[in-house]
Formats: sequence, structure tokens, C-alpha cells
Amino acid sequence: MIIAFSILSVIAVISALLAVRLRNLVHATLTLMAFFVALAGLFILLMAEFLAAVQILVYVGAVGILILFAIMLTQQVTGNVKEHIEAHGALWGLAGATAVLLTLLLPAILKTALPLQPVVETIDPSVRALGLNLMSPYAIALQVIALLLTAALLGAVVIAISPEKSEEEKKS
Amino acid sequence: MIETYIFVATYFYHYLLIAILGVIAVIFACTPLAIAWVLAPKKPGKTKNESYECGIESKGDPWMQFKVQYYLYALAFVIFDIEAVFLYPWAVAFTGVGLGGFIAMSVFILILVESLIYLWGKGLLEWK
Repeated sequence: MIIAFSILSVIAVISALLAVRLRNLVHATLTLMAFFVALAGLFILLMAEFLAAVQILVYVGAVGILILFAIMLTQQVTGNVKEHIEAHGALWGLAGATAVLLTLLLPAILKTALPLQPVVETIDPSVRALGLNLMSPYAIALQVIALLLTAALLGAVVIAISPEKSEEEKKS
Repeated sequence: MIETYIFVATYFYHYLLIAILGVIAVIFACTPLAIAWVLAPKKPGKTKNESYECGIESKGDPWMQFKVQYYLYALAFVIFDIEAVFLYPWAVAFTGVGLGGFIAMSVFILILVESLIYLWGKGLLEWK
């Protein structure tokens, strides 16, 4: 458990750092997707299977593709690799973050009492329980989600139809 | 209590198998690359370093800008991906939900099919 957690967190932290630091946007997106996969692994360690599946399907699958498409649509894909951003504020930012950590966060963490949670007798965070609830008490919510998704797609259509094309339609 | 313990143990055992499979997949993909990197003779030349595309010289920058219309396909993919996310718990609970669940999911899918038909009717699924 601890080994799996350590491996996954190291992957997550490294890929998140790379996603911020890499100059090539496509590579940054790929490392971001690696971060999402590691996060899905952490969700599995927390026994949140559905969240892990959502993480893989929606974030790695859909959001990653969406970001890649957005990059393909932009004019300048790769930043100038040789050009370095001259950062002068890094030290000040580090000092500020350390000050906030020492003066505000650490005392707050140490003062807060964390009561032990009662031991759970039966674990049922299963996808099956979620599915059963989604069908009987929350069926209306499911249909509202469907309507919401339809509305999102219609909005996408309105945005995607180019103004030139609609002008052509008006002429004909 | 012991049932909970067995449940947790089998749960992590199943995901351990998936993790092992993932590690094997990474090794399987990287080994040929590593072998090629070790074994291949390295004599780069001007002709060898040219990009090869069906024998025709490639023109222009491969990092070209795409039309904004293609973004619609990505957005439609996201919408139907989220539909698949909701199909997943339904499929797992299928034996317990009965006819009501089947009807609820049918309505859900039909509402989304309606948006697909709208897309089709607008002629946006045609690749130009």
C-alpha cells in the first residue's frame, strides 16, 4: 500500500512539475495526462473506483484530447525552446510561501484536533451501489444531466459553425 | 469484520494484477526501442535525416494550425465520453435495477441521440 502510494505520488509530482516546466506544449499535455493517470491510481488506493474510472475516461481520454486539439488550433505551438523566462520573483515567492506555511498553516494544523473516525463495519463504496442509486432515487437527475449534455453540444455547434458558412447559407 | 477484510484484500489483489499488466506493457513497448538504440549503427547523413513521407519531400512546418471546425469533433467526443461514464455504473448494477433502470437509461441515451441527430442534420459530421 505504502509502496504503491509512494510510486504513484512520485509519478504524480514529477509529471505535474514537467507539465508546468516543459516548453513544448504537446509534451506538457502528455505529462499532464500522465499526472491524471497517477491520480486515478491514487483514487483506486482510496477505493474510489468510480472516481478512478471517471479520471481515466474524462480527464485522460476527453480533456487530454480537448487540450491537444486546442493546441493544434493555436498559431504558435512550440514556444521558443532556447528562450528562457527571466524569473526574478522566484526567491520572493519561495520566501512568501515559506512565511505563510510557518506563520499560518503549521499552527493551524497543529492546533486542530483530528478525532479518529469510527471503524466502518461494512464498506460499500462500490460502483454497483452508485448505479442502483442513480436508477431509483436519482433517475430525474440522470435525465437532467442528459439535457445538460445536449445543451452543451448545441452550444458547441453554435460556436463551431463559422460565420462565413452561415453567411453563405443566408445568400443561398 | 472478516468479510470486510476479505473484500479489501480481493479488491487490491485485482488492481495489483492490473498494475503488473501496466508495468509489463511499458517494458514491452520500451524494450524494442532500447534494443534498436543499442544495436543500430549510427551514421547520420544529410539524406538519412530527411523526413520520409511516401517518397515525396514534405513541405512546410508539421506544427501547422488547424481549422477551428475540427474542435467540434473533440467537443462531441467529450459529450459522448461523459455519457459512457454514466453507462458504466448502470452496466455494473444492471442485474439489480430491473425494467425501471432500463427505461431510465433508454431515455438518457435517447436524449443524447437527439443531439447526435441534430449534429448530423446540420451536416457537421461531414469531413471537409
